[in-house]
Amino acid sequence: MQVHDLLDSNAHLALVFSYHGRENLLIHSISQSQGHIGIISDRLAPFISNINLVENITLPMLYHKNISQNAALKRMSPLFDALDIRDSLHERKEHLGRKQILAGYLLRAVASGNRSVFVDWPRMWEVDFFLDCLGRMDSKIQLWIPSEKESLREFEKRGFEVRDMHQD
Amino acid sequence: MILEGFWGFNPRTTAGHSISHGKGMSDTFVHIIGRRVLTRLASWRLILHLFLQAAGAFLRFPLLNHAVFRVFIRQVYFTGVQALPLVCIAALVIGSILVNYLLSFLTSLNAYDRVGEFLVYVVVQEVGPIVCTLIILLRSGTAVISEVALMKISREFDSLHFMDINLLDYIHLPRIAAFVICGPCLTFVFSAVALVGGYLVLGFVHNITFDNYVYQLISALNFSDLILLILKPAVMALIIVLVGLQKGIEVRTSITEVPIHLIQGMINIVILLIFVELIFGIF
Repeated sequence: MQVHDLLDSNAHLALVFSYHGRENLLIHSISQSQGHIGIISDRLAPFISNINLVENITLPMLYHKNISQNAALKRMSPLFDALDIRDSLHERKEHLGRKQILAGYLLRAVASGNRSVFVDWPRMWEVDFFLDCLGRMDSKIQLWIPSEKESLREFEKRGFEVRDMHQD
Repeated sequence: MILEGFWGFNPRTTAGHSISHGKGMSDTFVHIIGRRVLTRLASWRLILHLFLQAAGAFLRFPLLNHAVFRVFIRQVYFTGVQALPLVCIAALVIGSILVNYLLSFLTSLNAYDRVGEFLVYVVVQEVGPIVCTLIILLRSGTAVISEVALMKISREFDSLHFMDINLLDYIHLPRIAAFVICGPCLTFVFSAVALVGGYLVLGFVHNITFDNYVYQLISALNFSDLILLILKPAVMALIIVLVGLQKGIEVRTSITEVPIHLIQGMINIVILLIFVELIFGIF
C-alpha cells in the first residue's frame, strides 16, 4: 500500500503491521514527503533540545513561511489556550511533562500545515489524548497510527478506519 | 575458539599470515596506514565540501529567513557577546604587560618614535588574533562540536529533515556566519582595550603623554593593518567552526564518541591555526 492511498481517506487510520519495525518503509516515504506528512515520535523526530517548546512548535512556520516569531505566536495563540499549555511554552523539553510534549508535537504538526500525521506506536491513553486535543482545537488533522492485529478492536471503537499494510 | 574474535585475536589469520609470512605483516601494516590516510583525507574533504556548500548557500541569503536569523543571533550572543568580559580582561592584562615592556624597552633604546609601530604590530597583528581565536576555540569551538554531535546522536537532525528544514541553512550557516563575524569583532575589541587600557594601567609611569601615545598609534596604523585585523581572525574563526561542524557531524550513534571527536577536533584546529599563522607570517 502506498502513501497516496492513505492520503485519499478523510478519517483517522489504524495501519496494521504484523510486527514493530515493519513500518520503516512507510516512515521512509514520509521522510521523502518534504514535510507534507507530519510525524510524532520521540525516537524519530524529537524536539530540538537547545530551543524551548514554543520555538520548537513555531520553527516550521518561521522557516517555511518566513514570518516573525511574534506573528507565529499570534497565529498559534488560540491553540495554546485550547490545549492549555501556555504556562509551559518557554520551558525546554527536559522540563516538560508527557502530555505537554505530546501537545507540543501536535501543535508542531499544525504549524507545519500537516493534514496527516503519523504517530509512532503510541499507547492507547496517548491516542485518546491526541483525539481529545484534536477535538479541542477543532482540527481536521488525520492521525495515522500503526497497530498490531490484536489492538484493532480498540481503534475501531474510536472510529478509526483500518488499513492492512501487508498488501504491497 | 574462546580467544577467536576476542580483542581481535584470530589464530588462523594472525599466526597463519602475519607471523609465518613477512609479506602478510607488511600488507596489514600498509592497510592500517592506508586506512588512516584515507580516513584523514575524507575528513579534510568533508571540511572543504562543507566550506564550498556554505559559500554557495550564502548567495541565497538564508540569514534573511526568520528561523535562521534567530539561530544566527543566538550564536553571535554565545560566541561574541558572552566572550566580551573574558576578552576585555585578557586584553587589559596582556596589554598592560606589553605596553609597559615595550615602552620601557624602546625608550631605553631611544626608539621613542617607533612605539606606535611596534605596539600595533604586536597587539593588532599577532597577539590579538591569537588570543581571541583561542578564547573562541575554548568557549565556542568545543560547544559547536559537542552540540552538533549530541543533536545528531539524539536524532534531532532527523526532526529537521522531517520538517523539510535544510541542515545547511539551519545548523551550519548561522554558526559559520556568527564565528566569521565575531572573530574580527573580538579582535578589534581586544586590540582597542589592550592598547588604550594597557597605557592607562601601566603606561603612564613612562615618560610619554597619553596624547602623544594615541597619536603614535594612529600614525602607525595603516590600511594593511586593518585588513589583517579583519582577515586573520576571520580565517581562524572559520577554521574553528568548519572543523567543529565536521567533527560533530562525524559522530555516529554513541555518546562515547563525543569526547573522542572533541579532542580530535581541538588537535586538528590547533594544527590548522599554526599553519594559518605561518602563512600570514610569510606573506
